[in-house]
Amino acid sequence: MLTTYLIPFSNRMTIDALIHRKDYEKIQYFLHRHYITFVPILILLVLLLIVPIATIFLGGEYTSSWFASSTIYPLIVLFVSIYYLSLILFFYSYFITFYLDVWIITNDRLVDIRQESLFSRTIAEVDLYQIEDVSSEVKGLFPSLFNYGNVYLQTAGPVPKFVLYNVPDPHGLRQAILSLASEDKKYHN
Amino acid sequence: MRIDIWDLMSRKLILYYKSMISIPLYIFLLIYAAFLLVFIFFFFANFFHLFHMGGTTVTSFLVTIILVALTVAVLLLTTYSLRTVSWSDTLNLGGDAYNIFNPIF
Repeated sequence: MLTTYLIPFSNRMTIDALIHRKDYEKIQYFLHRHYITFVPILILLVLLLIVPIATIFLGGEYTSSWFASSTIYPLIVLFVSIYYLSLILFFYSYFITFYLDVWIITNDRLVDIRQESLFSRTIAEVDLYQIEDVSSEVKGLFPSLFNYGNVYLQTAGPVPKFVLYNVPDPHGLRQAILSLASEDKKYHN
Repeated sequence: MRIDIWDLMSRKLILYYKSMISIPLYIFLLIYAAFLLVFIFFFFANFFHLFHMGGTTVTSFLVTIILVALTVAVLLLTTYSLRTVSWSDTLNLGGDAYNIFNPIF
């Protein structure tokens, strides 16, 4: 069974406007990268959150002398505050980039919306009937355990190659894309 | 009278390094306020992206709520920790402790 993500009704209009959905088009799959690929950044965040606390505890008397100083103490507090707020901002920006990186597959085309950074987005699309070849790969321990990987699409369109990175159930998705493409070809022959 | 230019220069250097540089603490508070403005701008830019790109789901809502709560917690803790600080005090840099020429001269 292919893993898809439900689109709330409020978002449908935004997504329809974003991809300029045609009247006869139905969204079949709305895919994000697999959530497990977000875990390394979570671990990094937790480690970075611990750093100032660990420094204070491991510093012993050396750091406690800083806190005794009436002028150094506020500077440390401000610095630690800036550090934590920067971490929150970094994490939020990373989450947005991760979360807005989506692939939308309709019964007519595949739209690849890539959020490269906060102010950089690329949108590419290919008509399903132009898809020539689809391959999928699940490589490594974690991808095998959690069933995620890449799907490669070879097309006859202006963008010759599409890659769907770290999508859930890549083998199932490959079959689904092939079946949707063969269905779409019936209307373009 | 013979003037030794090198002696004069080194004396001037010592005087320079012995002079104190005093920075009022409120300057650091102003820097912090400037950082907060940048933080708010980028936080809202991220939030705007969620709406603009149709990313308002339960997951994104939860992540946003958690991060807003964390931000409020950090700001409250910062305010609490700094409640007794006298911002008109100065941070003194320089003086003998910073005189790198002390061991030589």
